[in-house]
Amino acid sequence: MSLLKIQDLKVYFNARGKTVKANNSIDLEIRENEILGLIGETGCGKSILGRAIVGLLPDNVKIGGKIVYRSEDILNLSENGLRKIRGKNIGIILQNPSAALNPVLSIGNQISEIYRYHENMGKKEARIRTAKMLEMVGIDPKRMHEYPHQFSGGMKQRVMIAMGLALNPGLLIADEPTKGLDPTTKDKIIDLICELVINKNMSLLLITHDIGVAEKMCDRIAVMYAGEIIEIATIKNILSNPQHPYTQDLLNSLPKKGLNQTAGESPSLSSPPAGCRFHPRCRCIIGKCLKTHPQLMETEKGTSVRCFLYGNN
Amino acid sequence: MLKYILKRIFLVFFVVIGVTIVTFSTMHLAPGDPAEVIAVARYGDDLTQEQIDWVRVTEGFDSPVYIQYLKWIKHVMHFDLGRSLVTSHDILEEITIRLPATFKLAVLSLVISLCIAVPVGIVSAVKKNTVIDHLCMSAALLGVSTPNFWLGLLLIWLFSLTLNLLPSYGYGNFEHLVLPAITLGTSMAAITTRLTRSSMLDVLNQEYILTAKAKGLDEKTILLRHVLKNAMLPVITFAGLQIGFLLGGTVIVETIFAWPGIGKLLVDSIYARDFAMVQGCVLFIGILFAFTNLLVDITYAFLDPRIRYENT
Repeated sequence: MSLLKIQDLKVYFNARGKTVKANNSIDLEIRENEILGLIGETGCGKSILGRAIVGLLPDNVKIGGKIVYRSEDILNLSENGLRKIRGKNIGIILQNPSAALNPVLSIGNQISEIYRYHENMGKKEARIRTAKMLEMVGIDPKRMHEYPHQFSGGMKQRVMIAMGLALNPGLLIADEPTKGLDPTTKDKIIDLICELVINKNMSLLLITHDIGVAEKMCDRIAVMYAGEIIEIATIKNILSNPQHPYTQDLLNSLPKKGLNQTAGESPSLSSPPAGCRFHPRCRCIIGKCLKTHPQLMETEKGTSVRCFLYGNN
Repeated sequence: MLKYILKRIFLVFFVVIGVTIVTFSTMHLAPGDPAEVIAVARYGDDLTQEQIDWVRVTEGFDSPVYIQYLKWIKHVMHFDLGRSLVTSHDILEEITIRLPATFKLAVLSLVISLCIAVPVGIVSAVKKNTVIDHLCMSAALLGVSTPNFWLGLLLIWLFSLTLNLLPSYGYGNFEHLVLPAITLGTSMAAITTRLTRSSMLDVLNQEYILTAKAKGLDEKTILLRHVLKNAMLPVITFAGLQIGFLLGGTVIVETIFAWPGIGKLLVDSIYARDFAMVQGCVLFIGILFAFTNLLVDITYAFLDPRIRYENT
């Protein structure tokens, strides 16, 4: 059932003598054929989590815990082992397609090199596979000789999707795939990713701060705050009964609910508040919150939450 | 692509016109009466006003400046740069005699500098902040701060005087070329190494390199396919500028090694107050510069699709 299991993941950076705890004790499971949304404010550590899964973090990082992909702990792999997993088993679509495509290589080259490298394909065969891939994401294969600057933002994102899915990985990680796109293009990209992921029986980790997008696509949603997961629930539970006050605030910030902002700023990851990390901004604060750090606990079927207001935390 | 090249050539045309105007002006803006200078060169220091006036009339200095310019341009377009005031040799011929020497030195120096700078710069960037990087960068700093004339003399002392391996000056066979080319090549390499390193580091931090890693490509493929092509763009621009400078003659090195290149011709003419020769040399160097830059622009288009497909 479980495709990827993250246990007690810690990602710490050293920045000017301070330790930035970008991910702190993350426990997360991505199941087979599931679309899991990872939502949270900018800077809460969600992109770091996505990159940690494929081992694409900078050198000055300290990682602890486990990331198990189909019985293999990714964190124990050598650089060589990691390379075989990247692209082949886990594909990732990075943020900002305009910067994520190499400006001096044609998009056809940038896709076909995946086949040539991982599957030792000849040029011709790789080109045929690339053409198929481009067709699948809705780009005329004739454009394979064109360069990134000749494509619009939405088209570039399609190229990124084609790259991420080129080798039919078991898991696709999409980091803000709809960022910077206009609403119509956004919908098309969402539909495309959903369709492909479902057709190919993959799992998807969708990293986004756009709750509307998450709502549309996901089976389950994990909410991150200040480097921690504070609530994981099925999409139905989250929408009908959001439990953590932060999750409630997030949903209330949607335009249809009146754009209500959560008071205060998101905390610094190098010196987070004691006790519950959300307590300085919380509406429902109780005495315990100031000193004790709550654990992630299952409160009802399909919902786990890190809050003293629920269950026996 | 063709449109881009044509546009560049069109621009070079205007640059060349500009060069001719500036070159011509130098002769007229320079202090002193050109007629007098020519008369001195022709008749010696004991001049009469009649002799100066005679030169003024025969050389056409009495007509308005723009007429003089147009006349000169007409000659230039027929590849006639006039004659030296001192030796009465044909100026263009004099320059073209010197050209092979300058060209050989320029090309070999550039090759030496790139052969050192590009690999060292790449290694330095890839091994950033390691001992290797620090060593390379210290060597580059040393190279940048070593003056050409001193390095040249040092090389002469070591290879000619002490080891007796290579001739210390002169022009002839390949042996003569080695020391001046090494002097120029290594000092240029120092700057290019630093440029290559910073350009490499810049590209290595780009997001598309992360994409390449996310595809599971190995480091060698990433370096050769994704980094190098992007990182070489500024290096090529710089190398193009350098070859322009080199072809214009490298006065100091040519003087040290008594290398009969254009730089030396230019300096000798300045000392001899041979205005016509100076004018010819400057014009020639200017045009050479414009054309090397054209070549760089065209190379750029081959490497960078964003320029190749520019629709302007």
